[in-house]
Amino acid sequence: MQINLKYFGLVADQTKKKDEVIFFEGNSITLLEVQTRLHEAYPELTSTLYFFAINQTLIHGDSVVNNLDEIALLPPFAGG
Amino acid sequence: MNRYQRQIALSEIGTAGQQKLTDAKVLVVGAGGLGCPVLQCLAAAGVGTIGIVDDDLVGESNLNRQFLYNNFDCGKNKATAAADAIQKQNPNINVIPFTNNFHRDNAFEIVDGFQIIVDCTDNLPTRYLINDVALAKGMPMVYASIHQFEGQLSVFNYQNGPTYRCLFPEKANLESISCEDAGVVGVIPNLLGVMQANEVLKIILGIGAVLSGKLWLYDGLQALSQIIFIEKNPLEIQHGLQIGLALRKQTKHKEVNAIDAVDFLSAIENSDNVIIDLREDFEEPNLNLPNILKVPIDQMEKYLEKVDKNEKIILLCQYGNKSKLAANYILKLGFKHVSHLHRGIAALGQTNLFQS
Repeated sequence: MQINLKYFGLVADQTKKKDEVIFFEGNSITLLEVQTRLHEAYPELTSTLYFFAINQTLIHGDSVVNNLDEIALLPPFAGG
Repeated sequence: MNRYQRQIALSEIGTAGQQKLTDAKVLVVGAGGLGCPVLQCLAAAGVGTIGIVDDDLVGESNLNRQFLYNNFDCGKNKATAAADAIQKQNPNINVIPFTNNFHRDNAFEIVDGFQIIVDCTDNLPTRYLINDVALAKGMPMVYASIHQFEGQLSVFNYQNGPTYRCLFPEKANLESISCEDAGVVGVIPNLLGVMQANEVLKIILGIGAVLSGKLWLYDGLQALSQIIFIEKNPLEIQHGLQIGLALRKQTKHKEVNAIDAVDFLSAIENSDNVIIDLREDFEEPNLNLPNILKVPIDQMEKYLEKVDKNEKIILLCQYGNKSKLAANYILKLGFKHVSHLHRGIAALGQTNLFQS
């Protein structure tokens, strides 16, 4: 299955890209599994404050992720 | 009214809408990159009362994005400089500068009388504070923030909608970044600030769809924007409300600062303090010290008319009772830093002040 990732703010600074596509076995996984994969790929994210949105809806806690879902990693911006 | 002719011509505004703008009272917290465009837009539209909170000074490195200021403003307090600028821009509105930092100790005093809070700050703790104060007061909070070429915009606590904590629950010990470290170009905060002002006008006028329950994301480099939907989180709302209500309670029961002899002795060393001896001439012993003014209690209020509300004021009397009452009274006059000498002159008995 395919997940479309979007990175914002400080997260994008750390991944050094604004978006990417990643693949998993099977047709349904959890958000926690996606996060684990991302933290392996980008260790800096483990100490970064950010939240998830799945298909443009903010999600707190774990959730099911399906094929072709879009997952955004949203850090709070501080600047003003 | 010629000044507002072009907006009155809009069917959504009209003369009734212009009256709503005249009657509106909006507090802008932070007069930096976001605050400047918010203030310019609200002043130009004729928002009747605008409060500005900022304890920071204008610096040269602000001028690339904070268009209310010029080289001559550098070194001035931002709230004062911004107030001067928008008062010139529109002399028909009331502008109230608050030169203190928006802080848990003064937040409820500052927001008193305002209807909408615009969050133009540059740090997360103040954003949570604004959220909690807005919740306790039942006021909407118009939020924006930026990171380099990106911006976020939303309206929180609008007609019981989601709050800032519903979007970003507070989490300790994780890294976030401030604007100064991240770098910023003028167009991004100005764009977001103008969008904030647009939401403020819609709330005042009751027109259009307010950006509540939605986070608007903008990426200036890619010219992309999108909406993220935010749901209410009752636990986070409850959490923020509790903090806000507890703070309000503290402010309500706030007492004047009582200082002891040791603090008093160090206070008289500092000529910035306004130290007032409220005793009558016949009351002894006499304190003959250059920094202590003798103003009998019945002349105090008249004397204080000449004194800036931000000055540090210390009152003393014979036993500490009159000074406490007087200090409570002048706090209500709007003085921000008021203390009195606990137990009065008697507290100084063991010191060497009377040796002269």
